[in-house]
Amino acid sequence: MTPPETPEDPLAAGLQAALAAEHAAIYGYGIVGAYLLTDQRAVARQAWDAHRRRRDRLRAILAARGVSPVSAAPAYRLPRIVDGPQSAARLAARLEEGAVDAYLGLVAVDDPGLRRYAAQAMQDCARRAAHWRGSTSAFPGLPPRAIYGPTRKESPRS
Amino acid sequence: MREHGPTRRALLGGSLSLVAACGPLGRADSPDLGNDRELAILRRAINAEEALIARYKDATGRYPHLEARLAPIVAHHRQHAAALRRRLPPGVTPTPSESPPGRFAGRSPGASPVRVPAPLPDSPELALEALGSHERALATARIKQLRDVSAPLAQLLASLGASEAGHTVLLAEYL
Repeated sequence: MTPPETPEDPLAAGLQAALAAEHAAIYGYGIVGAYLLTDQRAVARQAWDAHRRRRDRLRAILAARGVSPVSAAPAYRLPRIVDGPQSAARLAARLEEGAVDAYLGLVAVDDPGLRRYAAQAMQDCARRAAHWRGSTSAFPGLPPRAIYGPTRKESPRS
Repeated sequence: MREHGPTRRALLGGSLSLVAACGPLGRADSPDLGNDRELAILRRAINAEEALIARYKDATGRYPHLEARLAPIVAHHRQHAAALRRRLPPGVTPTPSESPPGRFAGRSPGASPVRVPAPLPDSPELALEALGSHERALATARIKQLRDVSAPLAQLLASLGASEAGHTVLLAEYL
């Protein structure tokens, strides 16, 4: 295998970032599932499966490019304590939002197929995030500086 | 092969945003409007946002009890329209004279599959369903709009699509 991706290869970096987010989501849903009530556990199980499919696909894409796919961390620090269905749902929302952020980076690549794949993944993750959080944001994944783009001709509120 | 997991204990769902690592986001190195296709996409997208906002207004006018739930979604669409308008080059209007807002946009590259919105159905439940379908159509159209546009515009459109995808879930769960 060739060495891991270099910072000069934004495509590999985008793929690796998305893959890292998928690893985190797969790990996290293992915890989430344990604390959810039965009906929501099925939803979490589907989400877990969806993230595993994306992980496998990203690994395959990286391998086909001769890049060694990033590994899952042996353990992940939880952003907050999970001790029941509500905190589990909040963690699930966080995992999905983290994946949205990561896929947004991949949307920037020139490859039209990967761009589409990443945008579709963003929508899938955003749907699940909306389910777990019960609310959405106007610009999922976009940092504020990117929202209004390079042209700043007018004040934010007209 | 060396291990290159982020850290031994990465923060779960934490600072996973590697947007910065991927470069072009929001950087002003290339104007968003390199070509007519981008301008067409921007115009269609702005018109589509306005048409959807009008539809939400119709819904809350007829079913005022939906107002509190729909207001956050409408606010998002206003923000979307504002963000898109800002990417128009100076002096360019969002609506070309030959294409009034909401008309079926069939052939141009930025075409949205959203026709002139049908009147909302005569029940709040069906109105929410219709709004959900409208959001879904917009989200689907975003995926096609990404082709051959600059990276910052692609990221904006992808984010709008994700926002709309989230709205479909909220609307379905209100039912």
